[in-house]
Amino acid sequence: MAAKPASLAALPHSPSPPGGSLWVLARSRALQLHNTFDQQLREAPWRTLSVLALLALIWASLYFLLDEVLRHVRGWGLVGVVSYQHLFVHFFLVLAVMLAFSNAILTFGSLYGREEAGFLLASPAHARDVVFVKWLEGLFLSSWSFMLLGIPLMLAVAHNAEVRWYYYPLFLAHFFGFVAIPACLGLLVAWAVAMWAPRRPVSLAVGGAILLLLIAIYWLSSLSQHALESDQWLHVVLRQIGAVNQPLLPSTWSAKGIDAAMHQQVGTSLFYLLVVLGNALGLSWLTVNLLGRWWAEAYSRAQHGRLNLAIRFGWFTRLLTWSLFFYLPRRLRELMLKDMRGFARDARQWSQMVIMFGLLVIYALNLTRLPFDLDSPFTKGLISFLNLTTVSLILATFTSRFIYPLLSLESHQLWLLELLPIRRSTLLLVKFLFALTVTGVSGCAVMALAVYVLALPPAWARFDVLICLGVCVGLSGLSIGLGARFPVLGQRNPARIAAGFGGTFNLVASMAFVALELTGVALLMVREFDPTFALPSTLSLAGWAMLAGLLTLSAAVAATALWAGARHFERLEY
Amino acid sequence: MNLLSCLRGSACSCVCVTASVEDRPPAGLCAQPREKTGQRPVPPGVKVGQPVASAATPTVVLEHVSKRFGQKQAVADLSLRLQPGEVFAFLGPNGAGKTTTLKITTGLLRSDTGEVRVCGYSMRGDGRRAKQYIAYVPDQPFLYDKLTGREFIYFARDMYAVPRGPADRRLEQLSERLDMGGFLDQLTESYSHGMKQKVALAAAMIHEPRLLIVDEPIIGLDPRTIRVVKEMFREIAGRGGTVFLCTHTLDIVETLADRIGIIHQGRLIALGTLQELRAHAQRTSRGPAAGRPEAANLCVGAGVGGGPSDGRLEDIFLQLTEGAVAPPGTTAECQP
Repeated sequence: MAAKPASLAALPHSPSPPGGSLWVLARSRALQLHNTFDQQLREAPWRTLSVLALLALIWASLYFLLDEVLRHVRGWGLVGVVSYQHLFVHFFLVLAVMLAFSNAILTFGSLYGREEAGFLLASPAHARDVVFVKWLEGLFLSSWSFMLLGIPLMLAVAHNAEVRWYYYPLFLAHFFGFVAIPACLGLLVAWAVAMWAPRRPVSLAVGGAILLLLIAIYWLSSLSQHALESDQWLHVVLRQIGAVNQPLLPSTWSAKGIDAAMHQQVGTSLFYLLVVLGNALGLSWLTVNLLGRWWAEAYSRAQHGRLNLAIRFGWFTRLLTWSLFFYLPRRLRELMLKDMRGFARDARQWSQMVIMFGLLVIYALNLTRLPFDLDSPFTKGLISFLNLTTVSLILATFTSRFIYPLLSLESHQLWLLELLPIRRSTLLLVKFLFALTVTGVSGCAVMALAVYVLALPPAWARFDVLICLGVCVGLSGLSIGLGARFPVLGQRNPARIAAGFGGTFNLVASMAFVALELTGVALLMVREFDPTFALPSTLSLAGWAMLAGLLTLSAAVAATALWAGARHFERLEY
Repeated sequence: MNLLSCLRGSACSCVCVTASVEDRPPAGLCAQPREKTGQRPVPPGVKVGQPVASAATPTVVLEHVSKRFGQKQAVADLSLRLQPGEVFAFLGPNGAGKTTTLKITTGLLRSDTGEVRVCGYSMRGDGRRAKQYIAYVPDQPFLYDKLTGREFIYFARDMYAVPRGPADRRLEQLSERLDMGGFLDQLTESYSHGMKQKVALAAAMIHEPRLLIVDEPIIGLDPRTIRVVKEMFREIAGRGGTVFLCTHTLDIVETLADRIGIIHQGRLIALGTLQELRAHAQRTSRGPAAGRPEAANLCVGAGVGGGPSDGRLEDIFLQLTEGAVAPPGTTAECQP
């Protein structure tokens, strides 16, 4: 036992770190960023360059697409003059909604959920400084993807209008000034959820996303109520455009400011810029101070939501698994059940799938409302091809985002799976069948609904569904195979796994596979069309042979990817 | 709030502040803390441990702290005082409320009722000042993946405003003692659990905290490092600091702790030195079986040393939390 304790020769403590905790946090962030880039360039330079090159490709593609759209808009004469501002209003409004939503999700995790929040809260860091740094991070992360759209838009507009040099800095100033406002709104939403609804943050996020989706559907469906050439349609369009062009919305200020800069009205543009900046700065100051003041309380309340409710039976997932995978041995079905429960109990996974395929279902149900002559066989054929394209691209995105990380996520408990009396390649097969079932059921169901609504001839209906199934086989095989060939070990975040080199490579490979399949379908359809470009009621023998070839291609792609992945996975040491 | 500096040479070493009139020490420095009137009587056989450093304001004061998560009462009316110069071990079954209590003490959680003070600062009203004196090492240490161990410790150094020269010397000492030289300059994402634990401990020690709160500190550490960590805890206590230790490793508690608190279902059911807990356990085991001669040989200690003073902490803990459980090899009389 210690005797009388000596005077604590503690190093002197000042009430706050020199320069404040803001400087310490900012320096730490900069150091982490530097170390990340340094590590990537040192350990995987070609991967880093590939990712940057792909990003540049996406950026360039967006620029050319926007440039083409704006070129057509400019050709509309008087309408084209008016429509630029409406374009910006809608762009900034959609940007605001998506930015607020994504920032709310990011902020909730970083301020009230993750281990780092607890670490910083237990330190003497000033709460306001931490909130400010987190706000900046959220702003940067959530607006990064929009920079990919904003700059191509800026350049595309400049290419289609006679702008002066000051248009560019004014556009950038408006853009950056604007994004702070929805970022603050996202922060406030995250804080409100932590304070008053901490138990269901994921459900709230999912509910919010579904609500936004329903609003978008209502907006779209009201547009499609009337014939394209009718006066009612024009009135509906103008009314809806007018509804979002409110003078008190920041999106309207930024749109007007950029429009003024385009038309060489510097004074007007600066005026709106000051309005945006004034509001952005004021709201930012208010938000950071409010959240800083209440951070500890909100964090404490948010911990209530981390208590898991008891799941007593899990009968639904068991029934679903046993029904879908009845053909598998019981041992493998138990593995499937593990994956099925992991998928069903992670709202972030199934909610995005619900939104993606929900949109497709709603689109399919409203096919008859499209302002096209659906009795025309040519139109039917064209729309069925576009449907197939859309479903395939969404499936490629889905498998890259959710299926590719499946194997990497097992790395934390690989030791557990290693003890099971199954081979690693069997594990791969189980993952593949799981992915194929999830994508096949959802993708083919949507295709079946679309062909039913379009009233395609039976032969073509079967054709579309079979091609969709082939695409599911190929994409599932690619994602699982490449996921085994390029695993990201020890990473728990599926988004980070999907965003790495392997995930990006998988996405590109998936898109290439889809493009190859759809090229084959297009060639087949062109070959099968009669001289009036009408879709025949049945396929020719050559047509069936081409279909068999496309399905063989899908199987071959899947088999090759799975073989390569299994070979690597069997030898993996971890 | 009245700020009172209580520093007197080598006799009383803590820089203390008082938060309320009731706690202001009487004339003369480092007076004994007074029991407040109206406090709940302590259970018979258990007495509040005497401060190791006599006549010092407590480092930690938890008064009637309660915390509920939905239907679950995680902590119920817990009152506790930790003194400068002591190593206090907090024990309890899984889900008893240990980690919740630790988090309330560090300010990560707000208690529903009661008050928490660290070095005289209220965690609710002046938490930032209190945190200047605290270092917290959770059971799963948090490190930034993209910082090296050295950079992370520098981050902690800067966060606590420790001057660079002394901090660098201290880091070198810690690196040598904890054998971190081989990995300190690698990114922490490549660390094993034991390496992370070492770096987290070093980051906690870099500013020589007045109060070190650790949750399962030796998990993943090799025996040599465990010995070093125990020495460090004793050194902190020797300098007048306080170590608030939460662990399931009873050997550590037996050899290191000056006082032990046992929490069960959110309530503090025992508090005192190991000897005091043994005595309490013996009295408790006699209670329900009072008048039964065959229960004279108590289960606690039987088969281990033969007498109540040799009762192992494991037996005491089990008896207090679950009722008497006969250790292996005991006689039939000890069967519950």
